[in-house]
Amino acid sequence: MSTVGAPAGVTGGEARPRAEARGRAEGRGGRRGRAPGQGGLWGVVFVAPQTLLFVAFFLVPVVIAFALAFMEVRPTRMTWVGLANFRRVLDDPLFGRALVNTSVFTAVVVVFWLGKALLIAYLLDPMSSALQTFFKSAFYLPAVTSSVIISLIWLWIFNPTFGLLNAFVGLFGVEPVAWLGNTRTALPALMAMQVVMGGGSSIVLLSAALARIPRDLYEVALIDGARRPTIFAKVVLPLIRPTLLYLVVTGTINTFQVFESVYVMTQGGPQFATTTVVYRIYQEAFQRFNLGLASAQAIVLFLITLVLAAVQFRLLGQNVEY
Amino acid sequence: MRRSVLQVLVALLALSPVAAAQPQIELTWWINPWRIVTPDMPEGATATGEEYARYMSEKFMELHPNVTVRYEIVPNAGYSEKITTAIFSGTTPDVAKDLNWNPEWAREGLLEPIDPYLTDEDREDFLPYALAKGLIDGQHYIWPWNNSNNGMGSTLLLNTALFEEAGVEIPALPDRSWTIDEFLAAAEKLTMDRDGDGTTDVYAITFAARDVENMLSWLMRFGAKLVNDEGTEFVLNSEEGVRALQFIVDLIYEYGYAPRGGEALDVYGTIENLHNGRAAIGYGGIYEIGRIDRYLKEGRIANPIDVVIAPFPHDPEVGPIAYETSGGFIVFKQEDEYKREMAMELARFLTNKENIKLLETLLYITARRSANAELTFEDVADYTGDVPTEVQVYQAAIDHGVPFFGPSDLDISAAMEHFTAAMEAALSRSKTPQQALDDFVREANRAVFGR
Repeated sequence: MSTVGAPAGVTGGEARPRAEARGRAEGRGGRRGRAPGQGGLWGVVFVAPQTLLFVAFFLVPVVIAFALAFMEVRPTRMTWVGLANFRRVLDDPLFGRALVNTSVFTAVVVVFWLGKALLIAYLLDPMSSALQTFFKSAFYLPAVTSSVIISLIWLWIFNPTFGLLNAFVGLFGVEPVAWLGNTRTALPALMAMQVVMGGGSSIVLLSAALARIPRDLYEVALIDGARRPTIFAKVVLPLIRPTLLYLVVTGTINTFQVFESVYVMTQGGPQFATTTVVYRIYQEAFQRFNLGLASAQAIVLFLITLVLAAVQFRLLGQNVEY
Repeated sequence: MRRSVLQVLVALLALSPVAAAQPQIELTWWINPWRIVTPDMPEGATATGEEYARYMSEKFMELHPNVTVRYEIVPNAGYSEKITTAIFSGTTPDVAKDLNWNPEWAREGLLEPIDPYLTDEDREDFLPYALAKGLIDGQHYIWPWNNSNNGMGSTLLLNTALFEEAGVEIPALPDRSWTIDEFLAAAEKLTMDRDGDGTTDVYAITFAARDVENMLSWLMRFGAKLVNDEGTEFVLNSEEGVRALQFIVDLIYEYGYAPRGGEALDVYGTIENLHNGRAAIGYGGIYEIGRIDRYLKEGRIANPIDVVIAPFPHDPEVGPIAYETSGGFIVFKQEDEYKREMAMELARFLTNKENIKLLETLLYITARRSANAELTFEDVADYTGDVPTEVQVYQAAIDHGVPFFGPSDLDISAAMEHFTAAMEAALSRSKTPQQALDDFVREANRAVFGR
């Protein structure tokens, strides 16, 4: 039985690696004879470039966006308008529609995409290393392909006149469907595309998490009479919970910012059925030059994702040890 | 020897004030890709969209050696975003194509008025509506260049082989005008089930909800208008507007002359249906003949399709209507007086009589009367013979042009997403034409006029 890679807290070996690591670090420091503050200085030097980039291209724009949200921004002037932009956001029925669309999109995509990733990772787990590598590489491929290219391909698949999907359903006598032109099918079509094409990196991460589970735990459960579904629910899921939490949080945040597929495939239509929050922000900022209003919308989006992440940590983060 | 040295010195002294008056400057010029064939291109070469900007920049720099022109080809799709970003970051180009023209740019003081630089001859020569497009608060801001667009909203392309197969006569020259009834009679025959399997193989025409110009053109067939003449209210839900939209819906669902699914299509969907023979009638003007020529050369179309131009059919009580539009170049605000002069000079250079004629290679008509009089349109499209006749038909059609989007100083961009939504609703029959247009007018008036 192998215990290599057993997760912390499972085999009771948590303290040893940390202690060893601390010892190694002290040993290196001791051999070089550095003063305690010297390492910190070099650390600052090495971290500085990334910090500067972070400040320049993330922190400063975010702070400016917060400021712009309280102003009416014209090309030649800025006027303080207080909370007026936020009132306009709340009064805008299309922003409300975009929020609903985005929430539905996120909820469905994250659940199905994570479920798909988990299922595939679980199926890959017993396979040989070579087979796993092949499948993981295959499933990861969409992640390194431009989302615009993927959207264009799916645009062709969903084409009502000569699209692949209508050709397929036509084999069963189904009339051609305007997948992206129908208010009932457009958002589900985008969600389906996202679920099918997404999840590559999740499969890799979940495979790694599954591989860390000691095999003897499976054997013990089997000896105790547990069946496969019970083992999955009672043994596997609790042990990969940290990875699941990470994927749910990052997946929700990323999916809430869906933009490319909407921009390329539907432009928010039909009848605003696929208008999402980020697409709405893009429209206000770059099509109507309302940078103040767009900034207010962006802050609302930020607050929503912040709350969602907090809730997810609260619900899923219990008893998780890192 | 001494004398010649003296002469050189005198010459240098004489030139020095000129040199001082003409400092080295750099002009930036943004333009979207225009596949104009320049005189220095090899015979039969296909333009990529960059040649024109390069050629004109070089020619201008030859005339003004102290000026460096930095051109940038900005893709159509990202043009608006790039201009917006440049405006807010204070990095606008000196000269730019007026793609996605927004009257607010002039009102915000971001542009230079061109009036001081327009000669009386220019004012006489430029087509009045082309000049009027840039008229904001009494001043002009656009150097007119192209007259009309690619024909979208103005004319139709008729596939002659499919017309012949269906036994339908092409409308007669010189202007090929036809009535709505004549169009309906033709559409019935052009909708063909060749093998009798109950599936339509060829439709008469395509409607695409996301194709604003052509849909709006259809909606105006019975006399409807998008906004009232004063530019104070959207009025497309008039009786005439509803009748026109019902006509379109009936062509799809009642008669089956147009394919279903138009709610998901844009203008490229209509072009594709024409190119692959699924629709006998497509949209566009002479430029679209050039597109077929280009697609053939690029291998994007396997077989050439022969098309001729005809205007949109008209209601005899209303008369012919086409889309009146034009484009040109704008000059952004300049701090330096000499740079302003040279930016204006570059815009004038691009739009002067000689250079504006380069649009002919792209099968475009220019905004100058004098240049149009000299365009022959000979040898501009390899696969089809009689382009000049099509140019005449096209010209005759756009002579009936009306502005689709109201007064030139009205910014209706915030309303157009609601227009597309209304077309999507009507073409998918999720709303009746009356409901769709009522909803559009309500939302458009709220978005643009705040009520």
